[in-house]
Amino acid sequence: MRHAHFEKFAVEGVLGILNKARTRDLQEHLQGGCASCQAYLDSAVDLTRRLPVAVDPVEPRPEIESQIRGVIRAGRPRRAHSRQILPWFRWNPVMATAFSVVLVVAAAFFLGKRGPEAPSAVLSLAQGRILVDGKAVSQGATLLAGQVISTSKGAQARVRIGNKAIFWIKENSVVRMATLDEPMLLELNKGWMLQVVRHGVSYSVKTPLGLAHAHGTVFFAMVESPQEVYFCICRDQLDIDADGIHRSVASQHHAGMELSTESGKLEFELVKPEGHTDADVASLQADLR
Amino acid sequence: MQFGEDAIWMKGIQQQGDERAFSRVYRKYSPVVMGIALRMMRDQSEAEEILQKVFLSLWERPGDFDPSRGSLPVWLAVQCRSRCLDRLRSRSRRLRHEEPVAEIPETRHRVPGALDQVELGQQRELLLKALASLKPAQAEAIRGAYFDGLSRADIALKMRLPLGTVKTHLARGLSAMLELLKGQQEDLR
Repeated sequence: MRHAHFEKFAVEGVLGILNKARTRDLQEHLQGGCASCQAYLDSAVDLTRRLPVAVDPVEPRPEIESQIRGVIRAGRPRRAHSRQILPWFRWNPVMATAFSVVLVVAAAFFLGKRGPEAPSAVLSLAQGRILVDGKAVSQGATLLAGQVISTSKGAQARVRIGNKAIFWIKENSVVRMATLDEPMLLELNKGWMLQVVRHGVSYSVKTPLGLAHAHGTVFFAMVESPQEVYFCICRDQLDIDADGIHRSVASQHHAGMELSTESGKLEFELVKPEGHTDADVASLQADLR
Repeated sequence: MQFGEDAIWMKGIQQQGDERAFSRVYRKYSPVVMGIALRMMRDQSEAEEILQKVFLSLWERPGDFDPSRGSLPVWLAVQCRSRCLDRLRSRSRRLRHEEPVAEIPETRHRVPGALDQVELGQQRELLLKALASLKPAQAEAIRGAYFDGLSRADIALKMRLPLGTVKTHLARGLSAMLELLKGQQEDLR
């Protein structure tokens, strides 16, 4: 049996143009168990989800795939696959042994000597005690992808990544420079971090609660605790991905966004800018020129 | 089963972090995602950035794809569209346009339809054929909303029609497409 007017309501509901009274009528009708109208509504939803695949496909530039694989290999986090690897080792001991040998050889090579082509950065400012992989360094030192830079109390450092980006960390901050070639990935585990990224450069900062990605901008990140992270979009646009949620924030003059799990679930909140000033931004921009 | 290989690849990505499986998914479906992103954003660099984000998100959270709610290409298309709409909203805020852009609603767990059983190319043909059989104004409104990511107000401006007429074209166009596709799906069974 067909209910033409409810089918019409269903389509209008999917389009978001059904008024409140009719929405209520439709809901009551569906709750009454009308399988035919429910199926019609499902088909309408399915059609709107499917329609975009009818757009003409466009082959992307081949470099895009390499860039994605670069980010994957740099170890951006994945969920739920490690559990399945262990059983595989159990029933395939020959492969497991061979894999272990490869791992040991690779680890020995990379720990003993880093490749000459490894992308690098320069410590352009060092005030106070700055550690890289636990060892004290001074201004002008070359820094490599994979290294961890940390600042002690009262210390601050600026790291210039070629001509493409510069970041500044203040006291008690810890940053791992996961990749220094594009797409760049920095992991801010703790502390205060301001960055200027040239337009068009792909640059991401991962924090305990979310990943912020810019394609050229000025932005600030502060990890106050593993449950509280703050970003400020000082200029242009920042894309923030956290726990499956995507937020894109644009601002021409400081827009603060706080991510917090203190209530037990992840919350995004627009907040007042804090922790940095226009003078900080100007000073860092001058260092990249 | 045409989408059987998708299931195998997704299992490889989800359970073993299999990069080769990821590569196959990327090579098969990146043109679909790029096509949508480019059409909506009309900017190569923004479209490429969205393409990267969609596939990195598939790699990082493969469990977010639930085959009971639709096929992999449709899921990728929805992810791409949603990111494009975020960007367009952000542009629109900058330009001080307040009209929201049409959202695609979430879907419940569902029984796969006949369209899920055919190759993507054939799905596209069926959708385009259904679209071509609509009245031109209905087809234009639907293309504007679902291909270009335009708000209803933008469609009204572009078509030089009152907003209410655009809404009517959208509703009648979708209803007509549903009828046409129902007939085509019955032929496929």
